[in-house]
Amino acid sequence: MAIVVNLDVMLAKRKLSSGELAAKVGITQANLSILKTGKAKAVRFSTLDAICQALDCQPGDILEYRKEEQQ
Amino acid sequence: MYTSMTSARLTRALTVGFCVLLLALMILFPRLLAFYFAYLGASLQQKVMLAFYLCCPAAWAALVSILLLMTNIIHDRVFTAKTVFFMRLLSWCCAWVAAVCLGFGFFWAPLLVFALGAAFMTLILRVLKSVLARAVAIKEENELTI
Repeated sequence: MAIVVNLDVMLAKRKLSSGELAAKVGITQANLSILKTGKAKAVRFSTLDAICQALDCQPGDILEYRKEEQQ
Repeated sequence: MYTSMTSARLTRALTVGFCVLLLALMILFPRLLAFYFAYLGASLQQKVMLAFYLCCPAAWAALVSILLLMTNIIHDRVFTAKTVFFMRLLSWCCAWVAAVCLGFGFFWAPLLVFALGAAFMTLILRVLKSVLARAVAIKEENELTI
């Protein structure tokens, strides 16, 4: 997918574990894992809001658009 | 109390009943044909019998599909890729029966009515299969929305 989730980078910067973030955001670790691995099809604004609040960052810090190279 | 689960169980029981009926028909069909359709003549009787036995594998596949489908529904596994697969299989079974009846309908016209019925059933099943496939895609998307 062209949208890359940089949640791992932000977690490392904030020195937070996945479990801690999941607890702060109020989602399960399984769902957070789906988000981290880029398997998610969509992100709710409410979830994004909670993640940004927990990590003290902007949506752009977590989500990145990368143009896919055509084969 | 009559619930959707009771309905599913009833359908499964009816399917088992149909399996028994089909097995009995497979055994007794030559005798039944000779008894009720003696006026057709030996050559035509053989063709009708061939048409029936050509339809049997499709009928068994359809019955097994329905049984597995109903079992999945009872166990709350409705919107899955397997359900779509079973629906597709059912539609292909109907299409096969329609093709066989159409082919043998040239020898015995009443089979054309069966062909028409099976073709219409194929159409309905294809539509249901498409709706179900879309529902599975929507469910998957919903599940992967965080």
